[in-house]
Amino acid sequence: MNRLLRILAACESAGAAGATLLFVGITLAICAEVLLRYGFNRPISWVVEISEYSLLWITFLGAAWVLRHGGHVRVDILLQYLSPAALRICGLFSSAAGIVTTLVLIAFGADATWTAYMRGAFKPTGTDVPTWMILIVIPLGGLLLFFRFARMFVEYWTRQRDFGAEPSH
Amino acid sequence: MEWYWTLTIIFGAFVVLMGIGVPIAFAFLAINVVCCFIFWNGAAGLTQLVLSISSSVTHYTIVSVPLFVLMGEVMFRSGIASKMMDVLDSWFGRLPGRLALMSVAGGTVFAALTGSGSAATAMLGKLLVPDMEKRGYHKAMSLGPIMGSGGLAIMIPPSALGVLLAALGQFSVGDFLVAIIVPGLLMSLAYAIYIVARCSIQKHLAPAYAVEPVPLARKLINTALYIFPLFFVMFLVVGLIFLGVATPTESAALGALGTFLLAALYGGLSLRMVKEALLSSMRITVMLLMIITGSTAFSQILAFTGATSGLAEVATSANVAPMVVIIIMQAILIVMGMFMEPLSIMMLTVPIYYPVIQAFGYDPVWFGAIMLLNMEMATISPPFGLNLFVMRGVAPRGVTMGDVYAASVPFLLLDLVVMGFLLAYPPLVLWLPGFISK
Repeated sequence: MNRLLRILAACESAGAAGATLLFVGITLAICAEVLLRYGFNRPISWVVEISEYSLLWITFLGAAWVLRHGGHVRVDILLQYLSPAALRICGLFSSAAGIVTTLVLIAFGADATWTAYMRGAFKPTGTDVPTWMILIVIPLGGLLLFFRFARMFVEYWTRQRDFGAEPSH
Repeated sequence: MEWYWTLTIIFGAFVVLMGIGVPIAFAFLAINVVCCFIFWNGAAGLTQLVLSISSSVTHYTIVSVPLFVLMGEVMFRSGIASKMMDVLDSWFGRLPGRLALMSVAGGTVFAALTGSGSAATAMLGKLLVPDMEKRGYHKAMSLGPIMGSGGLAIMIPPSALGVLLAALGQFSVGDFLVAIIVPGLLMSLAYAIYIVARCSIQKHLAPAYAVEPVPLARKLINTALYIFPLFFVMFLVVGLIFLGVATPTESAALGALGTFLLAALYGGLSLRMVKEALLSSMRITVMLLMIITGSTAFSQILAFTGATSGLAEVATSANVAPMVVIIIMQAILIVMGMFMEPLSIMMLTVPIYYPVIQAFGYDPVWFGAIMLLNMEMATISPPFGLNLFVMRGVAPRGVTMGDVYAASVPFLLLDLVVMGFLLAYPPLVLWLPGFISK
């Protein structure tokens, strides 16, 4: 079990690292694009589109890592007035809501990705990026989120976790 | 079912999910899942939801959000901010409420370099509160000015929240970033006037103290070294948009690069600092964008259930002046701001408000600026404004939440006064964007 948790944490950190690299990459690409356009009159045509798709990738690659660190903003000020038993129930329900939502993301995200792949759909905007390459990060990120929510549920269930134990913003 | 029942159920479900501690991003997604399933024909609706997630965040203008966040992180972590405050300190003579005024001046300059209000509040608090404490400043003159000035980061470009508001309301980000400059400066001016006036009357609030004079030559050299380069970054962000040379996203990327250059010149750049700044920016960005993933589907659902057009009809057919409706809308935002954080308020209200604004024929940029000012108030309005807790976190021991609440009130009232000016005289917002060369 501990080993599985370590693997999950490693996958989440890898996702965050990937998101950060992607972010650095598009920042440099945008700067280079402006300089080339004005300095040498040679715009790079793919920068705008690739940065747009990167935003989706950054969000879903980093989402589970941010969840583990309690970085997804939530309203926890009301919760401090509840008893430990009531808090546990809130924790169970809120992680269950996360589990159900991410299951839908995984199932329908995978379905949409597969459909796009089978149809050979692509963005007809010059770069011709296949649609499945953009969408596939939704089920992938959803999978990591699912495991993290499931882990939170188990922790509340076995009383290993106090609600609000994670730092919040 | 009538649209208002649907709307009540949707908002009620949102409040319940938030209440049990579901992160806001997932509360929106959960509601979208249920609504898409019910209203959009089961499984087909959920496929549609996945596609809408992708289209919600893949906008070029939104790329500027992580860039603005990164600028602030680098600015604060590299020590540029504290050097800037030292130079400001040398210029301020024996003014009434000296340190409170420095907080306004510092907050205004920070605001022009960063896009995050909480970071600015924390920074100003850490730099100024110890000194204010030592000089015997009253809490009203230490906590209040810092919270007010920290919030300016939202109102003066670069503003991450401003970009998201323009993206949600589908109006020009470039125009909007330029349009919020004058309102933001008006707010600093209002704060400064209030501080000088109140400290001149009630001298015990901010006891005057002897200021060590700094030779003029040194002041000038320090200003040239530490303040002028900041204008270079400001120019990259706003100037390039103004001249029509770069899009907001491009100028944000150049601004971020410029901030790194400055940090390197001042010797504040280390591998560790860069890594921390990047990871911290990622954390904030992913959090913001994850909430935004739900935006397209959510506004489509509100439109589909008839809530959007229903409310627009109520607003436009009601027998009152359009301005009254606008004021009621702002009042609703103020109440929401007492309990919720800005981005979720924007997600809930923009899809409903903007059709009304369009129906009345008001300028979306003008309304956006007023709404953004309202969102700035939300961060410091009791009981749950986020920056109140940030302030409490950096305040000295013995400061209670009650002290923080009391200190925020005058600044909320000042914000209301500025809001009144913007409502009464739209050119305050719309005049400056008129000069952008297209």
